[in-house]
Amino acid sequence: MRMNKKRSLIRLIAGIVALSGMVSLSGCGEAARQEAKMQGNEITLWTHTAGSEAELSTVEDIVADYNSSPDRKGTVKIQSFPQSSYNDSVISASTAGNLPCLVDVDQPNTPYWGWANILAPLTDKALLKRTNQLIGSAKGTWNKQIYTVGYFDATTALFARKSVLKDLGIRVATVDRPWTKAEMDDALAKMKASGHWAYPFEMGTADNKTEWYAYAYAPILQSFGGDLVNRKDYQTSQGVLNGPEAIEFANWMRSLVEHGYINSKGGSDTALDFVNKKSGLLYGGIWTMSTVQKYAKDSDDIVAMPMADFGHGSVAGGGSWTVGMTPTCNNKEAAMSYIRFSLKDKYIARMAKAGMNIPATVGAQNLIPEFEPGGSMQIFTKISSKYVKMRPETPAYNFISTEFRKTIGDIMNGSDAASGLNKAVNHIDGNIKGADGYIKK
Amino acid sequence: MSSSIQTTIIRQPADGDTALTPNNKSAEVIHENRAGWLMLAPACILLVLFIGIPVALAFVLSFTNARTISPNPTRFIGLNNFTRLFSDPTFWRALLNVAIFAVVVVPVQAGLGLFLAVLINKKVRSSVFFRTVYFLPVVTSMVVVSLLWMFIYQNDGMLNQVLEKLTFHHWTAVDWLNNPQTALGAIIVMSIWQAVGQHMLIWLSGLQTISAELYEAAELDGCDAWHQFTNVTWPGLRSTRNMILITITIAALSLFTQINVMTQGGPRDSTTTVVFEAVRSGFQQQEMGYASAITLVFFLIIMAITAVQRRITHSN
Amino acid sequence: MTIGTASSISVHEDKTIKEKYRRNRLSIGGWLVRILFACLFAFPLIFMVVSSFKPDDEIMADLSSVKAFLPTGNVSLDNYAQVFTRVPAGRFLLNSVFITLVTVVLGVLVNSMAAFAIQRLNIRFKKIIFTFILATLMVPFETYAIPLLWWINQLPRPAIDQFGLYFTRGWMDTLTIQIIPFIANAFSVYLYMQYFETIPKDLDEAAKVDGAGWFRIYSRIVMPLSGPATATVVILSFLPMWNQYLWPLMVVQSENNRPVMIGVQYFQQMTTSWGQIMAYSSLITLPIIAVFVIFQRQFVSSIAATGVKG
Repeated sequence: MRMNKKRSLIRLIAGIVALSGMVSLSGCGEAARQEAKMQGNEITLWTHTAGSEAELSTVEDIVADYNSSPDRKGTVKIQSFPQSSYNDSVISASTAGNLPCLVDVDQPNTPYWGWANILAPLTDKALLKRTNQLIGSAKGTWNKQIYTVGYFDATTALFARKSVLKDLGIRVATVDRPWTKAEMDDALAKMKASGHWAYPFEMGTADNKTEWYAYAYAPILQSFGGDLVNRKDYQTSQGVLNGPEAIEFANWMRSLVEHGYINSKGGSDTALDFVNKKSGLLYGGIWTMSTVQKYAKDSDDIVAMPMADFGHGSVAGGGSWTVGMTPTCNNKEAAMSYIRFSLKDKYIARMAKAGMNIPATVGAQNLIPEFEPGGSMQIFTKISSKYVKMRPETPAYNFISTEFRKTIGDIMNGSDAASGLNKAVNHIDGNIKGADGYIKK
Repeated sequence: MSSSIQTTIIRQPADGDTALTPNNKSAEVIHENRAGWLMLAPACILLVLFIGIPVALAFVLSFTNARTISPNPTRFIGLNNFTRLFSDPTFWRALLNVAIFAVVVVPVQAGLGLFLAVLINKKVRSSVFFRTVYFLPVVTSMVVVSLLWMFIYQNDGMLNQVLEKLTFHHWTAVDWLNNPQTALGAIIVMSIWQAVGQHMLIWLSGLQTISAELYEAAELDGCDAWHQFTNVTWPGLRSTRNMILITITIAALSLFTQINVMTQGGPRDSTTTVVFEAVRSGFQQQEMGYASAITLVFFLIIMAITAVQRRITHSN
Repeated sequence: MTIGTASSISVHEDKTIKEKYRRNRLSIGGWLVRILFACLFAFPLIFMVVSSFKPDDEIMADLSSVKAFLPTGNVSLDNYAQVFTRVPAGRFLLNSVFITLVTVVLGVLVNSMAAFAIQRLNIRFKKIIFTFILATLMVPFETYAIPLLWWINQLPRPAIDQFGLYFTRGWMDTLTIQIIPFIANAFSVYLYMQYFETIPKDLDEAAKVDGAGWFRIYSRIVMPLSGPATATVVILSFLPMWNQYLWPLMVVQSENNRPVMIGVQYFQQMTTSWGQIMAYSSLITLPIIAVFVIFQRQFVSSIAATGVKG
């Protein structure tokens, strides 16, 4: 009996050792990797596209093309990460001194990562020449230098059903004539009065862990006349995030909750809820359209419109995923030559199409039927080119964004607007001072 | 094979043969001390290396303006982080929240866990099945659990629907997770539901240490189930009880995951917790120094509470 | 000698259990209470499994009614098929099995030894050491993860090849870094300690008279009698290791080294694929339930049931 026990223990240990051998041989392959690094000028590209087949396979194709092109300055290898934890992965790698050559960057993070030595400015002349041809919102700049470039941009819009608007006597807003604030309020009041929905308007309030609040609600703030930070020198939010316009904005947001137009903690999947007719009006990203086209049986009835004009013009969110180079990259020439290679119209078109985003050049737009004049997605190109306002180009942005979403969330749940915004401004200004103004020496 | 090992050990001249002489008494103590340290060493070294030192580092950082990523040199800023912390109403709210959470969760979760453990400690075949089912919330992925509970708690969610039916439509729907008055309560209920299986398991392991003979004797004495519990089970669980009290208290005060997934501390700080604030500062806002200050204060508070608990349980 | 009776113990035990099964019939009330609790605890799992067969829009639509728990509508295996094209699920499972297995096995050994030393042996600075171990329970991992990341990269990394153990540089992107920091665990030490407390010390004395050393007493007397404690430690340390999420996303870059939990995020891009999350979650929950079912058998055998007395 005891012998058996002993034998089984030995077997267990042997099994573990064998398994560990298996895994380390096939998995870690550290030695093999080191060797490859020594051999060629291999550079690694980190993408945020793990699990997103269309985008990842496009990147893979571009990289394969580059690696077999005669102009290559090195070999590119892809490492893909899931999007929702991508930033934490990069920041950890930076802490551990383990950054690759090329990294995907969410555009608004560019200044922060540039300041913190995660990104180096792009200097290659030919590359910079090509970036001049991209739409403005597909570039990440800071301190008058270009750090990152993107293949596409996303944007925000209102979604509604034409039939619903018609029944309730609400005008379909157009790019040239967005709703005014009065029209927006009127539309919401009519929808609420119709009784079709518990909350007629869905603006993604449950999405309070991500960039969504700053990406989507700061444009409303800006349309009211406020902003996240004073863009003159990016040293304070005083007067812009807590000025009268900002307070008016915050009170309007709270009134949406008080009138029962929105739930301050909305649905977990706003696009599907809209498809399932759980809301009548949706404020969402361009990616909503993919869900609509996939699931809605009445997708022809669904229309995208620009956000209302609250006094200072309609404003749309901008800035999406871009790619940049790290200062620790040991083959910067290859890194920049790859970026330039990947910015061909045909690649831009494929990258944009993979996620149904706005292609970064007109040439690429003409390669995708949906974005050509008259195409079903062209409305987003128009909204973006006419109304986009980029998030402030300061390393403080990351902090500002976290403060903004907490503050707006609290105000929607009944906190006093003025004191809440004052508190946010104090925190933001304290953070900027603590970082010596985020000025790079 | 086993007997040969035994004989070799017995034949070793080490302890057995010479232990009787007084001079060797101290040798034995030294030997015991050495054996003890050898057995302790792996755990201690690992704990020092991978918790002790990093935590000490964090505590040092709490006196600096350190950031997770920054080109600026880190410098000492004295007690600035602490004065900022103590003047932040959100921190005091977080402390209050975890205090309320712990006061409710510790007794209820421990009690319910014990109830379930006793319920399924019966040696009948179905116990295997029920034990597994009761443990399911512990093993189910937090993504799934939180999605489901958010829908249960919604305005038009299942909880409100059930309450409406039970009260014959006299119930007005409450948005449980999104109402500052009810949000913490909703988190408490959900947390107890999710973790009670874990404590059931610990109680269950404690129950195995109570001799079946004691129960048989009690049964012969004509004790009913309740008296068996008070006379046999409860006294027999003393050491398990002490441990559960301390570990549940620590776990309750460290409340984080549910908050991170479901409420982000809202609405209006009504569900924020100390650990959530530390992680928010450290990870989301990358203010390492400030986050470390929160951690240090939190650590000291838990230390104090545990010390008091241990004193009370030991004096019993 | 008391320790040579393993086989006779289990025979004796089998008999008593059979008797117990006959005697411990449940009353109707007992059944009702048990079933009531079962319903209360089983519903998320039912929801998860049922939803894993539905398309995303139906999952969301069904959530506000009892349909969430019923396999209604457009039921298919599509989600499962897509899970395997989107995520290298096999690789992730293998990684997690390895990481978890090694951590749990080494953890049982390391932590029980430490508990034994503190609980049973007369060593100096015992109180201080126990206080230190308990104190490590009081700092949540999230709050020192970043200093740990920095610190661990300053250390040499142990590795094993065909020639044995050696030290090398570079922890990032390995399986080792996902294992080593989590082997020693204060909770496991504490749990073992409180369990050892209930094992009579007369057993040690008897063995000592027979000439057994301390390690032998630990491995041949105390540990074999601690089945329920080991089962609890295995289950409760298996879980957090299997659910590891923050640490791997900080330290692992290659897809080849990722554990299962990171896979969940593959389904949360700009839009979330709920059905696939449910299918994937169902798949990765099965091993935990299996471990639980296997190890909970330990809860019927115990020092009390064996009737072993010093």
